[in-house]
Amino acid sequence: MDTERYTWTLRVSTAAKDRATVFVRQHQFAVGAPVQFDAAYDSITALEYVLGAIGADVVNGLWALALKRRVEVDHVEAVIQGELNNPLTYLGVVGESGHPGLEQVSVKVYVASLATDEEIRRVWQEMLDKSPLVRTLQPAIRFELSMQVVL
Amino acid sequence: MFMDKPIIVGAVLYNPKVSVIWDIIGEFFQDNGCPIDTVFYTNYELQVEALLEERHVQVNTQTRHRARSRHREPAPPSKDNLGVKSRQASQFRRAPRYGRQGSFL
Repeated sequence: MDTERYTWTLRVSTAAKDRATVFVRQHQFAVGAPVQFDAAYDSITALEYVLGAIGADVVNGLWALALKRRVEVDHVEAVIQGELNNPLTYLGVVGESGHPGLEQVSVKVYVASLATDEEIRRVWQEMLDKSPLVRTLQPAIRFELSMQVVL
Repeated sequence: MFMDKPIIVGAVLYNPKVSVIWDIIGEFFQDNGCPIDTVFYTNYELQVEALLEERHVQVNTQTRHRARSRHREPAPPSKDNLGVKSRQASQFRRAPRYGRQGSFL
C-alpha cells in the first residue's frame, strides 16, 4: 500500500479546572471534566463527548450510506449508554479494584423509514463495517449494537 | 482562622454520586478558610484502620444510615455468635464518629 498517511491534528488547551478548549480546523468546543457524577454539572465531560461521538458516527454514517444506496430514511436516532469498569477507581477510592475505563457501550439505533427491513439491514451492516469508531472500539470493549426500524 | 494545611477527612464511598456531596462540602470548608482533603475508602474497616494508624486520615466520618444497615437483622444470640457480636460491637464503638487530631467539629 503506497498511500500517504492522513493525520488529524487537534489542539487542546486549558487554563482552569475542568475547562478545556479543543481547537479543530476553524472550529472549537469546550470540554469539562473527564467524568462527572453530578447530573447538574454545567459542562459536557470528555466521556460524554466520546459516547456522543460514537452515536454521531453511527447515525450520520447510516444516514450518509442510506442516501448513497438510495434507501429512503426519514429519521435516525440513537440511544447510547456507557458503563465504566469501576467508577470508584476514578475517584481514587482506597480498596477498590478494577479500572476507570469503559467496560460496556450500548448503542440502540431507531430508523424511521418506509424502506424494507432488508434494505435497511444491508445499509446498517455496511455502516458498521465502515464506521471508524465502531471498528476501533468493538475489539476493545463490550459493544452492543442494535437497530430497529420504526414507521 | 485560616489553615494553610488541609485537614484530611476520610469517608466511605459506595456510590460515585456521593462524591458530588463531598465536592460541595470541600468547597464550603475552602470558602471558610479551612481546606479539607477527602480520602475515600471502599469500607469502614479500611477507613478506621487508616485513622488508627494515622496513615492518611485525621478525621473520620460515618453515616448513621450505614451504621444502622451494617447491623441490620442481627443473628439471634447463641453461644457461638455472642463473642463475635461483642467483638464487632466493641470495634464499632472504637471507631470515632468524628474527631481525632486537630478536629474542630
